[in-house]
Amino acid sequence: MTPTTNVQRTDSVAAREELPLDGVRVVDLTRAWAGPSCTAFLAELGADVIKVEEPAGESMRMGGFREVERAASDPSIVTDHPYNLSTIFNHLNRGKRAIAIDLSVPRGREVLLGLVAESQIVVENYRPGVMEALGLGFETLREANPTVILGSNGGYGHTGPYSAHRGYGVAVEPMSGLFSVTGYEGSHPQRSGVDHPDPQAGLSMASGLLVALYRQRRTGHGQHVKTSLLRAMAACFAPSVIEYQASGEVPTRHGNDSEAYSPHGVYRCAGEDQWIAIAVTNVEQWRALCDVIGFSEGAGAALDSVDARRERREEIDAAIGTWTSARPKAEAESELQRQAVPAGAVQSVSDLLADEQLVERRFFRDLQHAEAGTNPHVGPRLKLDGHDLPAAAGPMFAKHRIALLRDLLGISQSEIESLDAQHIVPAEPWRPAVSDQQQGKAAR
Amino acid sequence: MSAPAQASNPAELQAVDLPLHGLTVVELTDNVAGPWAGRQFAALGAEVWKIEAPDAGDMTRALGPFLDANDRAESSVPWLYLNEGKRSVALDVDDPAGRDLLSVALERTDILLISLPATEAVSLALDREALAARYPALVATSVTPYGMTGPKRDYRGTELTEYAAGGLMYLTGEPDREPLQVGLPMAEFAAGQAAFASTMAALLRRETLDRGAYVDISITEVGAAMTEFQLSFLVSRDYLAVRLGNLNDKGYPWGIFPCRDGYAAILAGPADRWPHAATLTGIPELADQRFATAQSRQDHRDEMEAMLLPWLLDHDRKEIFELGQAEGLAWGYVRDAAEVTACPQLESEGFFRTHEHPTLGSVATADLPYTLSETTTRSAPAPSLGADTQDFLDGPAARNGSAS
Repeated sequence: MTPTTNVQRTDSVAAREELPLDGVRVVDLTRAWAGPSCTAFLAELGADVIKVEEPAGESMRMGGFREVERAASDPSIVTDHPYNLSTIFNHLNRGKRAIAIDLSVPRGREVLLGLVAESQIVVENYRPGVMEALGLGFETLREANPTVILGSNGGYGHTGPYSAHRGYGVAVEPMSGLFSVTGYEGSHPQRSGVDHPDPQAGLSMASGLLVALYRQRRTGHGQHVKTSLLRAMAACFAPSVIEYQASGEVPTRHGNDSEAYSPHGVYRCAGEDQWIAIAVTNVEQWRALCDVIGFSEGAGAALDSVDARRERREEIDAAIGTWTSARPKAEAESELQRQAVPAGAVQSVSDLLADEQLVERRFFRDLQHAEAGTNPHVGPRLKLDGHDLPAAAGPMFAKHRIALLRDLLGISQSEIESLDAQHIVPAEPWRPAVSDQQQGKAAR
Repeated sequence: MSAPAQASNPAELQAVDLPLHGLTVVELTDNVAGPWAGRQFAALGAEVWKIEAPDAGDMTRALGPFLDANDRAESSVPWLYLNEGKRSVALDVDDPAGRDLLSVALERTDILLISLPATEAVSLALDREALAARYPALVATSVTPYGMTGPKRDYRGTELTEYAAGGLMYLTGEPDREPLQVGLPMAEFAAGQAAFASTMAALLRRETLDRGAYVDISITEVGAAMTEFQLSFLVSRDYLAVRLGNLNDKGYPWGIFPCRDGYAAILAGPADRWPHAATLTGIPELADQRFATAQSRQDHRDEMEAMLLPWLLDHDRKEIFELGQAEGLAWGYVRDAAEVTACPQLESEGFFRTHEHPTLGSVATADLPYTLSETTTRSAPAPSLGADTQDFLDGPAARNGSAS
């Protein structure tokens, strides 16, 4: 079944049937960032991702993010559906279909298991034990679909001493060791600007799921794929552990410096807070750099070795800085790259939107959303056979309820109405008042 | 490696295996991203032939630290980690004879991982069109700093320049200092993970459409994709994200803070648990209505910090982590390599382990970032330069023989 979200097409966009995961359906129970970033990637690759939200809507639709708070308090924003306006929700859930199901009641679980029976993959990022407590453990999913693949992404892991701990990327990132090696020379640990654990775990989970799918196509066996924010990051930190175990010395912070490459740093360019990163990895690049910036001392063989250049680092860095600070970063980048010197302008998000390379490759996509309007989104992370991959904005609340219940599961119109009336598969977000909760459940 | 499910009957026994056994991969990449994808193919059972320049090999061999000062090229830590389980072929692809051997091998190859700049790929007939014409069943994945099309397709890059170009570095570091790289090659690791997953997807398509694929991954774009929160801020609030030191524009408190023996990660998450921070710190004011929402906590940041900091400076990292977690708050702390090595969680998963290297002895390593319940992984040390050249010539690159 083809998703009915708006698909942006140009002549160079791959046809849906050409997409690698065309025909693969994914039941997506994930929330927040890591899980949704996994399923957004699967959607980029062509999977039909069905995002299953709680009856109130996933918390990212409403909670914590200030544009929604602003929509609620700013009289100039007129909407009956603030839950459809969250830019970040719509971003993280691009390319997916949406339905909301109350999994705490038997009829809701039946609907979910119906979707599972029509899918190849289920992904969740509840805390360990929650799926089992809902009566949706792997064995139950397998009864509904004997070849199903389950992906579980946790914060710290599904078994073990930290498995009950709450894991958010912002705290797992320092726990992974990354910040112990991030910071200016001789200074304190520094956090990353983007919080790497969620996107890294998302891509790691997608990887494991696709290995399992490859295996399933051969053997007919599904599997349970697991990862965690911690494990995904620890896999990147492993070289520091190898170094520590061999030397007994704890790796520390070296700013933008490198022991293997020189010069290697970030240099000020013309304008306010404008910078360029330059990394010279061999002697040809060193000579080219000296040519471009007019550093005549580099012409002889005296500075051909990394060690020699590192010894005169201050002087060389000053010469580079004098040259870069006289020109805009884009100009410095192209002058250096024309001579094959690795150089990258330090780009802000607005620089990225205007970057000639990203524009030419149509990386960012203006995606149309019926209520939130047309906004730029990050695009698919690959080109396939020379084509762009299609992209679509995130789904409105319960947008695909009818298509999924009626067309996929063959549920009657009267039953669909009853599921809505009982808030089991609601058409609009529904949150019981605290005092109604027990009564409501009993009535259903 | 990861514990396979216990097989109780022969039908199940068949499922307990290496999931990618039987696949042949040729890896013509260096740096981190391509090799990180290749390492996963090797661990999952594929035969991975790593083509290296005969003189110096993969550029990562020159990256320290080194485990043996007298044999740096064979003891580089990043080299050893990223190239486990592969077979090394010393082959000069700039030389026509070397290129011919590679061509023969590619006829028998399922997957090519490649990281040549665009113009060089064309000149070696290893670009998209040439590969599709000559090897219609091949799944080729290119992972390069800027991608294979567009005005920057020939630009060179390293982790430092990629982290900058992809929008990640601008957000990292102190506002009054130069932007900062993080201490691990995260742009490369992310792109390598995207490359591995994309290659698996293209391999799945080969089964249904019966033809190969060409996947083009730009490390800059994979980096830029990680700025989705910051792009959302720009779109929704016209707020351009900048460097904030150890604060985080996703909320407050939401980052790392100094404490008695280092840095602790403090955050108002899960949101409904925030009032418990008042209880555990003994600072009842933290539960006040004026700190109840994300916006109001941002608005009263200085006031909150004045309350929190003295408490933090009076407690140790691990204690703060445990106090927070006991109250359901997702707190953490900055751990170094010694602490991560001893992490009880990773230890319980058997994540870090050692294996025997023929010349270096026992060397630490790690399992994959994900586990599969019914298949296993394998581990073997990274190869010495050219160790498997003869096997390659007798096997996949043999002109008349059949592939091994």
